[in-house]
Amino acid sequence: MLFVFLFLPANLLSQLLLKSPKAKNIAMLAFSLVFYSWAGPRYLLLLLGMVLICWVGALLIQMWEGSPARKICLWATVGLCLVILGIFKYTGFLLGNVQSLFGVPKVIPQIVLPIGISFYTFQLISYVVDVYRGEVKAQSRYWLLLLYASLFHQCIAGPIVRYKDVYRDIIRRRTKSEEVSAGISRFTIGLAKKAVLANGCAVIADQLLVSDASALAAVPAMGMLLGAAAFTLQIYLDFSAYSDMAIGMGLMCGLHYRENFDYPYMSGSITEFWRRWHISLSSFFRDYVYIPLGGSRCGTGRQLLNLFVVWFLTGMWHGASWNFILWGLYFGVLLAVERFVLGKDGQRFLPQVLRHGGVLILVTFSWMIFKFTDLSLLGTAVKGLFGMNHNGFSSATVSLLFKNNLFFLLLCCAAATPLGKWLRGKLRKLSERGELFYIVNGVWEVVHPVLLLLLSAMALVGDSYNPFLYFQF
Amino acid sequence: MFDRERQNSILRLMKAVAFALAMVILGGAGLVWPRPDTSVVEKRKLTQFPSFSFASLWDGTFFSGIDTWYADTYPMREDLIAAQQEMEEHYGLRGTQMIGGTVADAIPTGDEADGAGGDEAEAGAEPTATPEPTATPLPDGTVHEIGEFVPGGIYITGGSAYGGYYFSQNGADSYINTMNQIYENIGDKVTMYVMDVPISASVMLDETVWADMGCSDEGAAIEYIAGKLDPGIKPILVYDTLREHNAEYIYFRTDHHWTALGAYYAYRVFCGMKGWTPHELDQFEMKTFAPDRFLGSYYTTSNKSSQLTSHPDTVYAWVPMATNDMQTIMQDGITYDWPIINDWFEYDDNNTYCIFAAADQPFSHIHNDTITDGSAIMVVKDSYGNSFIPWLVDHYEDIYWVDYRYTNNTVSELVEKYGVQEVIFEAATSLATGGSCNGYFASVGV
Repeated sequence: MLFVFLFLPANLLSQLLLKSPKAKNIAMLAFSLVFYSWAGPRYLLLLLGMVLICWVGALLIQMWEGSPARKICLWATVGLCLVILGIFKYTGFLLGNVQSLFGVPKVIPQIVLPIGISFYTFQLISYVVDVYRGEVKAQSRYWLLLLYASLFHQCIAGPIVRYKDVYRDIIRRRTKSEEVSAGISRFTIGLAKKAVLANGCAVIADQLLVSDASALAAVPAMGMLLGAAAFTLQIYLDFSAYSDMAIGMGLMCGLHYRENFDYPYMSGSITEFWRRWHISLSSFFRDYVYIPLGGSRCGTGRQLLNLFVVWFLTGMWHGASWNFILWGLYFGVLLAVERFVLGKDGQRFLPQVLRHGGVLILVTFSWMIFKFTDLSLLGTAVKGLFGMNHNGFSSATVSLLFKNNLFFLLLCCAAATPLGKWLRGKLRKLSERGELFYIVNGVWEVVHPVLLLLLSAMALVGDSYNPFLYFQF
Repeated sequence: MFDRERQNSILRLMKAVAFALAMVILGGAGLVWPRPDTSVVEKRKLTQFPSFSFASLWDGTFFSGIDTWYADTYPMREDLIAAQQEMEEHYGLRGTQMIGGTVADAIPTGDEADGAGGDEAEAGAEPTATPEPTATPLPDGTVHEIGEFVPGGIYITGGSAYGGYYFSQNGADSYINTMNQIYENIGDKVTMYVMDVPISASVMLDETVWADMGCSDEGAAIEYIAGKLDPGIKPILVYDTLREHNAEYIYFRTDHHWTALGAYYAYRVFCGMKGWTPHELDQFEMKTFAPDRFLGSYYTTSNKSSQLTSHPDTVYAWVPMATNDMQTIMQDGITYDWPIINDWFEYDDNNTYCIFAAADQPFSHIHNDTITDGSAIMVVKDSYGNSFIPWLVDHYEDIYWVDYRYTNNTVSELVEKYGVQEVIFEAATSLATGGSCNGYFASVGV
């Protein structure tokens, strides 16, 4: 609430009133640092420190052009970033596993995960590597690199923005009215997607995919399926909503972020799914891990190894828990089967409908793995999905819950498809043909952001349940 | 012909202005307009602006406190929530809705029950609930249809809300042990009764309906508890009687309490145990409060369900014949003279159940001048007891009661101080076996 209705308007006003890019950037940095400090200024020091490491590292890499020292500097900088990320994110997990195996250490330190550390660490790593590769020049001004890493639009929830994609925008900001208009639409759509749709799905999913073992075991198969479907919708609507808002806010300020989602649930294969889901993360692993490891230009064994390294890391990135590693490896196996067993011909053999259905089933199942960090709960949930908890196929509770939210779930399904985009495109085309449609389109363009803001305000007020799923990453 | 590009520019400008205005209005409202500090509907104080400290600033709790304060006290909050609820009414086929509830334990029966909990008790070896003889079969008011269930484990159908009961083995055994322990403390001084009041779904709904909803058989739970109580404790078993009368207005539609009429049937069961002839309803003066205006706790919990909005309750009360005067020490520690059936203080419609026996206070007392036999009873109760106490007035010289959630007194000291001969422990079964009131009972029962 505070962010949407006070912080953001103040930020947009500053960007509107200030004329020079430098002034805009100083204001944007100030806003971003305040935003990041909101969860406690202590994490800000970490962000400042990591940016400092990468700023110095990249400058040295650039300075030592042609020298072997630059490679050492690259590894040292990237390694330091990963060590810091590892300390904050994985210490508890690693020590917990050591403790369960060897009984030591007695006490596991409780390290709080700084918000957005996974996102900005990867952004900074991509910057350093791109400087090393010569794809971009090192930023000589620390505060501008800090602005890149801390931009509040995407700092804590993605997408993972590459420096090479935005540094021109940062330096030479141009705000076009068409982009501001598109940004307003994109932001309000994202806000409503999060506040109304994703949070609504969360209410349904949380009633069925509960964290109490006996209650979870009591959920019948259809209940588990409904819960899994609701969570599948929730996670997409939630995460893509944040990307929508980031892209929208960026457009309003003259910053262009790449798309992070491309209707992933429309995919006909798992490979395609990962080309459409969290694109900035999958492309990061592709460009900075998979291809440097040799990618697909090597033997089958090595390709398999590369694949599983990438998917192990993808799982790890999502959280310090075995279920995330399992989740990553699950996709590693599916992708390996698609590539090495089915091949392109094997996939084409199946009708389009079956391929879509198959992907949806496999992806929905993956979100069950993703949902339960407690593996025993995961086991109960998976057994429940197949009716192995001996509690029947369905219940009045489940069928009523489904009926109660039928239209809402259909709306959420539609929101996960390009239907809205298609309808908007149609309306725009029609508006070019006649005055009536032009007026209809015009009214819609002016009214829909206000309407979505109001709907979001309604949903946000008093809605204490407002978790953002990707904060833990 | 207008220049289309110019038109588009104007359109984009209008869009930006509309967006900015909406942001300014919605944001400005949060700064300029008065902020509520309490929620009437939710019956709670809203979040206060956090107090500043360097520690809270450093760990982020200060700012997160501001976030919570801003959203929780946003102007027109309740109107916005109501609008949101109105929108959610269209999320699906809401004539049949169910959300919430929990997982119930199986209630031990037969040999299972013998092995569970404390010592075997022969409940009802002495006087037990005496079924009332009825000349003609009572109409069956059981509701058979599947309806709406809203957050908090409430089932709504046909404009009425019903709370579901979920048995907990641990909670029930803990409650039984607490009662037996209390009996050990006071059993030699007083006659101890235990009255477990069922929640509305158990009484009003068809058993297949609440079973489908995953609820427990509350009648069986009450029997299980009665069977495990010390043989010296006398359970007042009201479940069957209430169920026989479920065609009558014995539970509110929009509130979790029974009505005074429901409490009256419990009183008749108690009279049966005592061997008394209960007074008939027409012997009392009946008063009507908030006619078709009372929207109680279920209305709040259901976030103003439209089904309930269109079926508000009326609160009926019967004034004791001997006196309508009582004294109460309220939660502020001050003693007040108060009417038993409060016909002078106008409560907010949503709080009309408070007209009974000064609602939930730490200690209260009624002295009945018309009886001089020295009889004195104490009721240790929750809010269900409020509408039950007035029915006792015409049978005792003195009636004392404490709300176990708010009192600092102990039954032992009160029994001794006031020469009480009988004590009734009254609790809604859902609270009793939910484990939430055992701590209270344990501290008040010493």
